Amino acid sequence: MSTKIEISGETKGERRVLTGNAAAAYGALLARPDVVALYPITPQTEVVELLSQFHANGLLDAEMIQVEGENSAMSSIIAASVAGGRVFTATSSWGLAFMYDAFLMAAGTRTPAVMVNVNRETPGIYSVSCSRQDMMSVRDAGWIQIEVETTQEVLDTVLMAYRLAEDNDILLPVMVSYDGYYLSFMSEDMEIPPQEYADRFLASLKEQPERLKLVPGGPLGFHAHALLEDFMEYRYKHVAAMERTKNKLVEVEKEFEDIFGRNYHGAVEEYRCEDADIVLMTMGSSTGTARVAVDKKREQGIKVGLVKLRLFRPFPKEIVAKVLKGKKAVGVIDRSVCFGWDGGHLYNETKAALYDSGQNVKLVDYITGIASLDITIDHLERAIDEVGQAAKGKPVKDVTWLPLE
Amino acid sequence: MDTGDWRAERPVVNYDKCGQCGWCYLYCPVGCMVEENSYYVPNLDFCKGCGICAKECPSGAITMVTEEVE
Amino acid sequence: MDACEGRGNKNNLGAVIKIVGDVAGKHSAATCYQCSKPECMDVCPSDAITKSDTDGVVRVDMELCTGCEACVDGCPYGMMLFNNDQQIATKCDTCDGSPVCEGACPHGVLSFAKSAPVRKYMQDEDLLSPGVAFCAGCGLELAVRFALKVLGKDIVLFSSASCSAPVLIGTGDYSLEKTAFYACLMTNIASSASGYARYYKKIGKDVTPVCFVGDGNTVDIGFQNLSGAAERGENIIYICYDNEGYMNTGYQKSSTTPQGAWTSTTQVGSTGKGKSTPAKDMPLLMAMHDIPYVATATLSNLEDFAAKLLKAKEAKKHGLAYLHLYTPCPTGWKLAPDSTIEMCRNAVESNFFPLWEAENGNIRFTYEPKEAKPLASFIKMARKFSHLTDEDIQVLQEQTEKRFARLKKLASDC
Repeated sequence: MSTKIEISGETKGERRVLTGNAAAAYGALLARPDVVALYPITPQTEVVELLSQFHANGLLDAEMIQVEGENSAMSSIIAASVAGGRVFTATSSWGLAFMYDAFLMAAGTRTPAVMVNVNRETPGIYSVSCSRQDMMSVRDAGWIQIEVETTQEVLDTVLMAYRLAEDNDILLPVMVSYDGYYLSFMSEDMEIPPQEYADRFLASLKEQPERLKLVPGGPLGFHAHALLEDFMEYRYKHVAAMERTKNKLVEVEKEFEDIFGRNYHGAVEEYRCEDADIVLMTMGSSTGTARVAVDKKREQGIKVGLVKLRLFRPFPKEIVAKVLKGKKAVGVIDRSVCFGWDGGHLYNETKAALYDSGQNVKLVDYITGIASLDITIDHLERAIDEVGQAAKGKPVKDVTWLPLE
Repeated sequence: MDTGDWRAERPVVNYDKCGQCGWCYLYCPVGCMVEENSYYVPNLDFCKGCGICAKECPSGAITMVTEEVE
Repeated sequence: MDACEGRGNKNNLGAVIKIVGDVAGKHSAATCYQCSKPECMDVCPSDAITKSDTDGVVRVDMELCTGCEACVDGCPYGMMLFNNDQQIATKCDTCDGSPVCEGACPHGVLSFAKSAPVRKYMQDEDLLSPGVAFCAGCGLELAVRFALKVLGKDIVLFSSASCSAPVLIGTGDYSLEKTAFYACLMTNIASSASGYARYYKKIGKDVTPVCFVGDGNTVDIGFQNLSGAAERGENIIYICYDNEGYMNTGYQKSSTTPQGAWTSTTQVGSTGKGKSTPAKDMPLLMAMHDIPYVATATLSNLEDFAAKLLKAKEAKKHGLAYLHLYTPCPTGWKLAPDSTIEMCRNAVESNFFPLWEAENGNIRFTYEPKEAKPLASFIKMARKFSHLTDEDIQVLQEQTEKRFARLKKLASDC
C-alpha cells in the first residue's frame, strides 16, 4: 500500500490531510536529520518511502542508508550519532525485535537517537495487525517512550523527541509510537508547520556545550567494557536521566506551545476528570474513541472522565497517582498482554503507581484491541458501565478480555 | 601487564651470528624486540617466550633457553 | 648450485652455495650469514673483506685478496670458500640483491626475504600497548600490531567480542591502543562503521573506519551486515583475521573452520570426527560483491600484507575494501607457539591459503608457489588435525586444489 503524497517544495506551513506515517516523515524532515536509515516493514513502510522521496527531490539533505535489515538500521544510526550527527529511523514490532540488541545498545550508551515505532503485534503468533505489544515488550530497554493519539501529535512529538533526546540533561534515545493501521494509514486534517518554527524550536540544542563525540586521532573509546561499580554508576545515571525526563517534557511542551501554539499536556492528559467519579485510562489512537464514549455517557449524566497516558517511559507514576486520587474506580484499556501477570501492562504499572502513593483505587482492566480487533464505542461504553458498577462496590472481574469475554 | 611472567623459555641471541636482518623484530607478536646499537634485544618484561624469533631467525642466531627458578 | 656457478660472475669463481645435511636427515641449502661481526673480516690480513653499510653484504675484494685462506679457516660456519684455480677467497654476495639461486630452485625452497621493504611501510610508534593478554605466539597480536603500524593513528577501529576484544575494547577509563575505538555488538560491526562513515561523508570530512574482526563474527553472525555494507559501497575497511573458529570463547567451530578439524563444538571421539562440512570461501564470497578491493594476506608475507593494507586504504574511497588474513591460533589449533609464521608459510605454499587480490571483482594472484606443498606434509603441525586419516587429509587436499583451480579460472577470465 503506497501513499501518494504531493510534495509542494519547501515546507512553509500548510494544512493538509495526512496519514500518521506521512506525519512521521514530515516530522523527521523538519528536524533536519543528518543520517537516516531506511528499511521497510508493514505498517511503517510509507515513512521511509516518503523520506526517500523527500531526499530524491532535494528536500532532505541527509545521508540515506538503505540498510539490509533493522538491526543495521539501529546500529548505523547509533554510530552516526556518536560521530556527531542527528539521526532517524522507523520500525515496527518484528523489526524492533530484530534490532533488539542494538536498541539496548542505544539506550545503554546514552545515544540521542529518535525513532518512530508503528505499533504492531510482536512475533509469536504470525500476525500483521495492530497492538501495542511491541513497545511494551521493550519497556525495560531504557528508551524514553511516548505514545500518541493523532496524526498531528505524531509530527509534533517527533520534533519534541529531538528536543528531549539531545538535551544534555537527558541524552537518551526516544521512541515515538503510534497505532499501526489506526493511525499509520488513517488520514486526518493537520498542519505541517513551517520549517522556521522547527528550526527555532530545536535551536536551543545548539547553544548547549557540544556533546562528546568519537573522533579519530587519539585514544578515545566508545562502548568500552564496564564492571562492578563503574557499571552500576552508568545504570544509576541512566535511571536518573530517565527521572529528569518527566519534568523536562513539561518544559519542552511549554517551549513547543510558545512557537507552534499546540500543547499535549505533558505526560498525562485529563479529559473531563475534575468532577468524575470514574475514569477510563487509555493510550494512543483509542483515546479518540474513548473521548466519544465519555461524551456520550456524560450526556446520560454519568460522571465519567478520561485519562490519556502519553509518556510511558519513564512511567509518570506521581502524576498518575495524583490524577487518579479520589476516583472510585478506573477502567484501564490495555492493548497488550502482560505475560506472567494478569492483565495488560498499563493496568499493572498503574497498580504499582497507586500502591506507591498509598491510594486504594479500584482498577478494572480490559485487554482489547489486540491483533487489529477494533476498540469500538460500544466496547468502551460497556467498560464505563462496568467500572461504574465497580465504583459502587459491585463485583466486577479484575481483567476482562474484550470481546472474548 | 608484565607478560614476561608468563614464559617458560626465553630467547638468547648469539650476536656474533646475528646478521642484523630484523626479522625477529618484525615477527615478534609482542613487539618486544628493542633496537640497541644496531642489534635487537628482547625486552624480557614482555617477552612471552613463544619462540617465533628463534624459529624464524635466518641465521639461527637465537636459541630458546628454559627459564630456571632462581 | 649450478645457477650459482653460472651466475654471470665474470671471474668464474664457482658456486658459493652449499647443500648441507640437516639434523632430521633432510637436505637444506646454506650460504654466508652476512654476519654483523664477520670473523672473516677480523682475520683478513689484507683488509680485503668489508661489510657494506648499505646492503649489509660481506664482500671480498679480489684485488686485495692474497689467497692466504685465513678467512676460510676463520669462518665458524664454513661459508667462506676458496677457488683453487684463481687462488682467491669467494663467498655469497647475494648477487647484489637478486640471488639467482632463489629463482633456480625448482621446488621454490629458497627465498630471499628482505626486511627493509617491509619496514618502509611501518611507522615507528607501536600503537598497541606492550604486555597485552594475547596468547604466546598469537597470530592476531602480530596482525594487529603490524596493521596499526602500517595504517597509522588516525583510523577509527571497530570491533566487538572476540579474541581481540579483551585487548582492543577498553575497560573503565583505560585503553590499550592509541587509536580511537568503537566497540560493537557481534551483529553490527559493519553497520556501525557504515553509520559512522556516512556522517563524515555528510560533513565532508575524510575518516578511515577500520573494522578488525574475527572470522566467527565475519562469516557467521555478522555476515549479513557485512554483505549489506559491501553492497551499499560504504567507505570502510574491513579486515577479517581468520583463526578458523571462535577462539576467545574456547575454540568453537565457525564457518571457516576447515573440514575435519577438532573444535570444542565439533569434538572427536568414538562417533565424532571433527567438523563434518567444508569451510566457506569467504574472501571469494566478498570478491563476488564486486567491491573496489578484496585481498588475502598472511603473516609470513608481511610485505604483501602491508601493500594490501595501503591498497585497501586507497580503495575505501570508492567503497568497501575487504582483507582476509590467515591468522593461526596456537592455543586453539594446538600448534606450537613458535610455529605461527611457519604455519602461514605452509598455508601459502600449499595453496591452502592463496595470496590474491581483486579490484572490482578482477582477481589476480600476488604470489604463486612454484610447486604446491602437499597438505599432508605439514597439516598435523596443528594438532587439531591429529586424528585425520590419510583419506581425511586427501579430502582437504582435493578441496584445496579445487578452490585453487577455481580461483585460477576466475583470475584468467579477468
